[in-house]
Amino acid sequence: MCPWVKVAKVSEIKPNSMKEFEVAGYRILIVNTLGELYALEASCPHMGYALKFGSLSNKVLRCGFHYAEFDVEDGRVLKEPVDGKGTRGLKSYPVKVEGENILVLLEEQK
Amino acid sequence: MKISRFQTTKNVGREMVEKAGVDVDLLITKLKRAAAAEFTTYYYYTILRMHCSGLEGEGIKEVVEDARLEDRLHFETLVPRIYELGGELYRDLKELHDDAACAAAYLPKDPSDLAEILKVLLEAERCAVRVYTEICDMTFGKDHRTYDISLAILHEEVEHEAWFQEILEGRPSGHFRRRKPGEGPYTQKFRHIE
Repeated sequence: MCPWVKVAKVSEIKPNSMKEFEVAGYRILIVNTLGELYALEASCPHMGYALKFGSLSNKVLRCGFHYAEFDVEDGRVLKEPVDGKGTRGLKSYPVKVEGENILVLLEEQK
Repeated sequence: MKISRFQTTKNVGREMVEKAGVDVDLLITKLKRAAAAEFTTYYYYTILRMHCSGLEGEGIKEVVEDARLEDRLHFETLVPRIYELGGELYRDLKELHDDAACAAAYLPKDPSDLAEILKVLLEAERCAVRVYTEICDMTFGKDHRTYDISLAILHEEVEHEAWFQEILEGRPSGHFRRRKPGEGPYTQKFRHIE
């Protein structure tokens, strides 16, 4: 069975923006920046807050609550949250576009 | 046999929220962290307010005072809901501080720089707006009471953000004075204290 899952349409995510989707029990954040699409887990691993409320600057995703920063390409931590507790990186999922649809491979993480 | 005073029957208020599909334990965590952020913000704003002095600073002081007092009232407004849902407050104040939903609003390195103080205040309010938006999203149409409380707080946090943005950036100002310091006009109906 094909593990690629349709998450959204390309037209739903404007350039330099991000949007959260719930699909197959996963909360996925689709990021559109610098002409590329990325799929990441939608909650900050630090305290579980929604990253859709954060900010995006090129390939840096910043959580709006304790200002942890992540690389959207692979989810790695670029800056720890300011409370000093530390956080793991974001789960990152492979993405492909077929026609108008954005598909995400949920079973395998990058 | 002595019956524990904490031995209770089922709580329909919680049960209805669970049946509506809300993860109540997660909601309690979010409400506790929101309350923690209000409590710590009240404390840090006390320090920030003290440094709003001089010709320009005194004009800001009263606005900071409104936000400071209302944030404390938000804490008071949230606490009963946490207990109604079966949660409880942190027993250790250090734990409360470290678990707060928003970063600590520390005094900037140069405490005489009013613009830097305003940036700290603005970031704190923006975080609060995100916190209550998330709780409203989580409870809308499912937990009517928590939604109503969170929406009322959100109204006030959005106003706080606007006040500080107007002062810092010189945006057109729709800031009307509160009828009394820290009035909390939207959250008033949930409180039974002054």
